[in-house]
Amino acid sequence: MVKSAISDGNVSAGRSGRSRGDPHDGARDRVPLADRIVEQLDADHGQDLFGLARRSGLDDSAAEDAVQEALLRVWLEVRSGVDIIEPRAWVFRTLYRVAMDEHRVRRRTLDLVNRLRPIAPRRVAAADSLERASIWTIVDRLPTRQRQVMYLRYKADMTFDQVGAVMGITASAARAHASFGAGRLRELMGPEWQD
Amino acid sequence: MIDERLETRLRRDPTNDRRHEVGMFRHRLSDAAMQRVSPRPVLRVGFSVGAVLALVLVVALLLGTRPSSVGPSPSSLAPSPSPSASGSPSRSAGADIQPTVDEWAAANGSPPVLATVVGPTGELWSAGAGFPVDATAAGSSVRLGETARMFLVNAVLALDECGRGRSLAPCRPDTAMGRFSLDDRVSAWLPDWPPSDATTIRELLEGSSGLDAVGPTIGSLRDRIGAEPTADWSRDSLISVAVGEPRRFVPGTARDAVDTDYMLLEDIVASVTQAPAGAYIDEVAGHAFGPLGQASSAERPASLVPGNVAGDDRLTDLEPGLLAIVGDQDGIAASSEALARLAVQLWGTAISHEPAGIDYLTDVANGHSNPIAGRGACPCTGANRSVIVATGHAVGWSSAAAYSFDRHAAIGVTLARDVPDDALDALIERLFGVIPANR
Repeated sequence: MVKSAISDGNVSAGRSGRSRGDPHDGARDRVPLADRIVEQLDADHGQDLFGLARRSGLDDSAAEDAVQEALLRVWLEVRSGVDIIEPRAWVFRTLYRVAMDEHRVRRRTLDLVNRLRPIAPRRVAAADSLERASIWTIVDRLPTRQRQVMYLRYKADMTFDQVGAVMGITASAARAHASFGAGRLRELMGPEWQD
Repeated sequence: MIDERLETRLRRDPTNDRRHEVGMFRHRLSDAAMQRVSPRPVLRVGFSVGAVLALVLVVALLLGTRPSSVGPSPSSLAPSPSPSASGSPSRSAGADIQPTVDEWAAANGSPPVLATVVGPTGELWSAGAGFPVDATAAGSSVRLGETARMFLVNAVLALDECGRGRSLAPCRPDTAMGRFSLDDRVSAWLPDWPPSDATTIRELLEGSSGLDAVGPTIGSLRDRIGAEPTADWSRDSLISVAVGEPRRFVPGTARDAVDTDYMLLEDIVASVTQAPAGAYIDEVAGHAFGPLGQASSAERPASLVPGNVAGDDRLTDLEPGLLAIVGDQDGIAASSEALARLAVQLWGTAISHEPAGIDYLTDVANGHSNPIAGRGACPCTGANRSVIVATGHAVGWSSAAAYSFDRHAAIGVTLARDVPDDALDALIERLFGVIPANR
């Protein structure tokens, strides 16, 4: 089965998570395999990938684009003869990189546009009861890394080892981001959530 | 750490993210399928992001600075560098632009020429020779000829992206724009088109419709009208005649675009937007960083520089009847600065289109001479594999818009005389040569 769980402490997204397949494999022969793997990843994890891209600062359109790009990269790798041992870890790691690259570009572009254009007054919504209906509207106000860690840990259901591997940080750093994020979250949610 | 109550909320509460559409990656796969298989495929997005990173600053300066008026001499205009964001424009490159233009003009019969270069960190230089005394890079327009198609295709692609809910440009999905697709039949949007005809909008865009030409060029059309001025020269009649001719090849089996393809695309833009095509062309061209200042074929801009035709006759503008026929696919007027800014927007940023859309723009600029998105093919003209050049010819004027991926720089060129493509390519090549590669 293509869908693979990531074992704690053994997440290997990137080179260490892949090995070259039989060099005699024809690229054409690997297309059905690449199709199956990517379709499975898309069906099983597409929504989580999309969510991570959104938590990385991308809007809906850019997030969807980043998901497609990450899936395409998996497809290309498999087609070219790479055996991806941990497809889920690999695609999350790739998505994270794609999203962060895109986020940096878009942030600069937006800064540019905002600087060059008269900015319409932005309506600032109050944290009303509707907003508080989901805790994620508040999580999304946290710094990027904190909300990414929160999302991977509690929505994508990864361990901190896995989260660290996706984001290229240590597990303890991931824990620290989650801890700081939780503290800030409690502050934002009001006194009843304070320790 | 996180207590149980908080963790429960984090796990249970919905993120309210938009629902991910499973299967959309197939669009990317169709692009990828055209790539040459290699053990380490070179991904276009990586390339685009790199180019965008380098060019965000270019755009900043392009828009943050107004072009300075070129010099007062009627025969030779001084280069006019604009300050960069860093305050350190590359003066050495700017200083070389005027001599480069002068040398090229001297070697090519001294056509009136105005060139604008946007450097890799946003410097904006203009240099010219033979243009009127009051010419400025931003305020002196010429009729563009085929270069105008870049503006038109820019709008067509925006409509397609709008129809797929992926628009980066102005989009009103609750109107007909939300239903538009490149894969629609032409008959879906042009009421007079035979319903049984299977020609698609994508085939028009790719030049694979096989339709016969109207002109095929503005010059030849103008000559025919001059030879028989009393005939029926209405746009609709000419298109009907071209469409009624046998196809030059079976649709989809070759790619050789003619003016008819673009005239129909223009009519389709008008049909979808329920307004003159020029309105949406303008909206899309200016959506990111403000108006580029181009004028549609229906307008005669006050800044139009008179063209020159054989025998040194001056041409104040193309005849209104001729402009009504060719429309915006050939008849837009724009300045050298507008063309350089358009080139930056189309190829130097990801702010207007998806990668597949940029591939189409490249294909149109290349004259459909290479596989669309073909990674092994040359995305350029001439021998330089990293330069895209769109050229146009309009009886008494010619123009070019170019972009260099090596130099992260753009060039717009306007001429008040028609010169051959080879000469335009040579000027572009020389001007890019002034900009250091890969800073």
